[in-house]
Amino acid sequence: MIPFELAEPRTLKSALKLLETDDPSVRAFGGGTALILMMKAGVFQPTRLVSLRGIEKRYAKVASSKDGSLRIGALTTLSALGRVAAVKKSAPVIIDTLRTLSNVRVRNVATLGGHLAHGDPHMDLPPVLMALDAQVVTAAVSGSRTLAMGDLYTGYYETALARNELISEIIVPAQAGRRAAYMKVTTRAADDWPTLGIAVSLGVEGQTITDARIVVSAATEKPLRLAAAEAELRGATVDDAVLARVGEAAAAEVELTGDAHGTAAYKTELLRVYARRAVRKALAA
Amino acid sequence: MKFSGEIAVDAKRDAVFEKLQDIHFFSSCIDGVRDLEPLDEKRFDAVLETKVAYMTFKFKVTVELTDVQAPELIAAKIEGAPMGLVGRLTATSATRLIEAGDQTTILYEIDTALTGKLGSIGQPVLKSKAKDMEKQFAKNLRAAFAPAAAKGAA
Repeated sequence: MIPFELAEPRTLKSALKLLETDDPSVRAFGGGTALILMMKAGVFQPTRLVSLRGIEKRYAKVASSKDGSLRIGALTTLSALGRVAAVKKSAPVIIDTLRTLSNVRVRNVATLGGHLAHGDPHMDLPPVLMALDAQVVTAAVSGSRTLAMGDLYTGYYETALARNELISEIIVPAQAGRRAAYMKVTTRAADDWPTLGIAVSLGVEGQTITDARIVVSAATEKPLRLAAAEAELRGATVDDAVLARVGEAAAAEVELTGDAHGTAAYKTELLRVYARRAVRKALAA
Repeated sequence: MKFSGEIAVDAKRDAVFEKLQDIHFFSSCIDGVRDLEPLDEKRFDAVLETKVAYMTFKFKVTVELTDVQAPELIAAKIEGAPMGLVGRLTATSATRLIEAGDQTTILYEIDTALTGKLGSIGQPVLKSKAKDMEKQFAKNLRAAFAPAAAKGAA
């Protein structure tokens, strides 16, 4: 391995200053679980890594409001996130997703901010947070900004984050009775990377769906909303015929990528089936 | 995974064919190809380097021209391995040249297969980069056939 500098700042401000460089191989990390894999694979050779583990503890806390909205510090580990009662109450789909996200050793050190900033379309929480209409707050020396989750990803491993910009906080709005679910399909082992991920969030009044957000991931370059499938649900009372149309619309509107987990045709069939199942799971949530 | 497309070039088919057969010219049109080393008349080694976000992927490949029919077909087989990752890359390509008056339409089809760890990371990389590489290849190719005056003006 080529030697690199490891910086361990004690404040977010000093961490951001360390990222103010033109060198593209300078990168920050939270838990390091994803970045180290890339280094071991030989596709990333840093000159400097900036560890965020020592910065102010407030960036690892979760706050909730009376209306149920959540503000999650980006350095909250995935394990810690899974133990927050307010998250379980306001967005139980996050807790449900965390149970099968990688394994406990990874969840104990991986941080939510790193999980989102890595830009890997196989990650489980980006589609879930998109379906929940979450936002990310970023920080840079020049200031902060707020981005919709849907605007965070620009391509395969590509995000809208500048090299000198970090995610500092994730905002999950009040879900106001919405029902949500996430399903992932693994084709080799239960805790493997997903072959397909699908997140659904539904606004429901009585038997009628008033609003739907459906997001597909893992088989796409980045998490994607399925507008045509969502349109099939809006204003509908769910039955087998509606679900069949949702599955068909989902399979028709997105081009999936084949890889070692399955061919594009196989994944399209998975999407057709799991779009229906995920809507049913959300309605039962 | 299959890629296909077409590129219109402002030159006669014979001239385009002759140029494309020249592996030094051909590889100069593809961004990221370096260390070109001819093994014999039909085979050469090369390194292809491409960047996705903060990652750099390097492939060491051997290209073999499997079927050359002047002035309309160049078929090739590409085999190689990613540098640093466990896996293997195999691909076949067929390039057909169609005469269109003073222009030539280049139709190409590439069929790639990636195995090993590369299969998970590399396939989407190839897909996400393919369009960019195609655009750049077409631009470089057209520039090579552009009239000298236009080149000077640029």
